[in-house]
Amino acid sequence: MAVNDSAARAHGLPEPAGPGPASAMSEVPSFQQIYERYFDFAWASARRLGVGDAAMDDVVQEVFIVIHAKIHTLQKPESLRSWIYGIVRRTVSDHHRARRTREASGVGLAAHHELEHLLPKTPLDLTEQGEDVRLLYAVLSELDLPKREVFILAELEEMTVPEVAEALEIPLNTAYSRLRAARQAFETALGRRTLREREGERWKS
Amino acid sequence: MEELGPDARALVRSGRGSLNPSAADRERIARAL
Repeated sequence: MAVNDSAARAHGLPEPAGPGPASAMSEVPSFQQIYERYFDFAWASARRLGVGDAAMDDVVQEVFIVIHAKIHTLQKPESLRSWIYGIVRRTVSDHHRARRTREASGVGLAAHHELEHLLPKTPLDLTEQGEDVRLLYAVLSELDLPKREVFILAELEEMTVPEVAEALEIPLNTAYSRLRAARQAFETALGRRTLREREGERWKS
Repeated sequence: MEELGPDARALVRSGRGSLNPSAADRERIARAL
């Protein structure tokens, strides 16, 4: 693997890490190590943020081009996963925005809030997944995006709440209260679905 | 902080890693970089 530096420059990004003070920090892993350790995380995060199959390669490649270009700006190596999630989030947001601009020919998009660019327009393709996974994402789809995002990072990715706060660039107390609300919303949505299923079974019998 | 109940916890456990890429995905992107 040799990230094309001209590709990074073409995106208006800073030069990749050179032998400066940040790259000399032994805690900062190499780009190769980051790719090995965080590829699955970056890929799954992009999928959960609604990137379709056809665009996955381009979006994930773009994520790693940005990582390569910006790794020397990483202030806290211990926050690497949060930092990477922030890059995935911004890249996916740009991707959705560009797609919607193409689809709508630029009409009426100015009013869209930043978060709306992250909402998947179509449900995730989960045809290859098991029943439990389909149920999980059906329940998650009933949560609004801020709660869904916090829930996924804390529960599925098992991030600590401080990591979640950093990844989403929100205050720590907000992350705690949002996770509490997200867990309640998840339980409520799951309970509703379970009840509906039981009622459906009763009607059948 | 309030934790999830057992049913919700089991459901969450089933979803961990569910959207992970394949080895082919990993290699394809590595080649492109």
